[in-house]
Amino acid sequence: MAAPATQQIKIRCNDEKEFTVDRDVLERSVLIKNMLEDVTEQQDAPIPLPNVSGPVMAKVLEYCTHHRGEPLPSADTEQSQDETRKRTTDISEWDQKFITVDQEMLFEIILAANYLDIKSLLDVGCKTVANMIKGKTPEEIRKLFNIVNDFTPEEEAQIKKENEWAEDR
Amino acid sequence: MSQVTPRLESVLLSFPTELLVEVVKNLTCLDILHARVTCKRLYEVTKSLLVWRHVVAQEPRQRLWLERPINTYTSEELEGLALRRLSVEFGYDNLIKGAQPHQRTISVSYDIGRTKLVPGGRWLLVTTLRGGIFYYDLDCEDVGPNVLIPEGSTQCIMRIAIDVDVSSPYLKFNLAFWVSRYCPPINNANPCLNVWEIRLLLDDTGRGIGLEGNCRAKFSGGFHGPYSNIVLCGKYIAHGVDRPLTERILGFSPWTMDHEYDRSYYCRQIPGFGGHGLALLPNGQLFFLAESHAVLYPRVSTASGEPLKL
Repeated sequence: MAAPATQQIKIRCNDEKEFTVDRDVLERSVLIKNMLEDVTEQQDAPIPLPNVSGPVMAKVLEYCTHHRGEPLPSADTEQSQDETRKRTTDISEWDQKFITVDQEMLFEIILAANYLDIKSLLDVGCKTVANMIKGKTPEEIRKLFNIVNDFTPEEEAQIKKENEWAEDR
Repeated sequence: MSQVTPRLESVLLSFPTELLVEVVKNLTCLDILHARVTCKRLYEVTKSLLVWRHVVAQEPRQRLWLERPINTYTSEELEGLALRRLSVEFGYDNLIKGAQPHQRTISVSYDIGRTKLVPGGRWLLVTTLRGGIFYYDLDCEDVGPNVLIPEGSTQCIMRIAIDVDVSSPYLKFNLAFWVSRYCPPINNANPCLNVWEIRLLLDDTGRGIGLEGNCRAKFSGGFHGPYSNIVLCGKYIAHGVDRPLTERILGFSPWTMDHEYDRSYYCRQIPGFGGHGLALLPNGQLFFLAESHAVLYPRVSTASGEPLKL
């Protein structure tokens, strides 16, 4: 049933940028994998990906090429305990280097991974954002992500009071 | 509007909620609390059930905190458990620094034999000098005694051991105790080993509201005591006898035989017990301290043990 690994697939991003990629690399994306399974005959028209730009897709393809051939996580969204434990381990060295990009690109990659349904890349992205938050004070977190404090002073005091013991740590 | 203040818009907050949950899941408790006070959006995300399920599921010793399946807990309950654990750790830090830890005082109007805290920290067991065992729910604001094993004899419970069944989805443990007559000289005592199975008592909504139990075994263990040590693991019980001026004896018995008669229980006598450090491990190993060294039996087989002689 699986097509030969050498089959080439064309995709087109929202900025008209086109890529021609080995099918098994693209199939890291569950979205594209499902699309390809629905298509029976060879078609020449590129697959349109209206939610991803060329530069972001280039990054995503770099990730997919490096991880080609690895088993895909099961489609089951309910995580088993073993998976949960695996998920909490650190990001691998290659992934860490790969994801060392500016914040804008990081967020674009996360959104693309979410849209394309590439679970492992989504994980790497979300963990990276989490690592940026770790050890920071609320004010530092706001500054880092341009977050506007929309609590009233009373509300903020109330929330702080709920976990008073955790203040200044 | 985005043209007026393009730089002030937070890309992170433009994420769909399920992605923010994915991010927050990977934070530690303390970082989650810090993220919570930044803005209303993250406040809501940090209250998410998925976040706290993930935080608690990550805990390797989670079975020791959860007395029912994790999917029966609300996010508030899981957060409460996780934060209580964290605050305990901080409490210890402060203790080292000399600060006063949180403490609770329970007043009792009876003579206490022994106490035991069930793993998880919610249930405190107290034995009485009248042969009963009471339990206290430490999660309750107003802590009072509840009867687990009724009083009613002139005997007191002098030793107590707990073995939690970690494979049970709801809190369940076996409780072994040694009952001895109070007051008369120890030599004339009529010792008795008891094993009870204790379960979590649930209300209509599936929340744990108490403990209940029933007797599974009752036998003498063969040595007439006094037992200085009892340990319980799976279907075995090890019991050490420490008689003044005479030898120390260590017995090892399967207790799940459900026999009516005491003499039907087998007991294997293990030599060399020094009176301390008795432990029974899940893989069948028996450990104890001898007079001048430690002893580990790879696996104590009762089949090769002697039948109990009375």
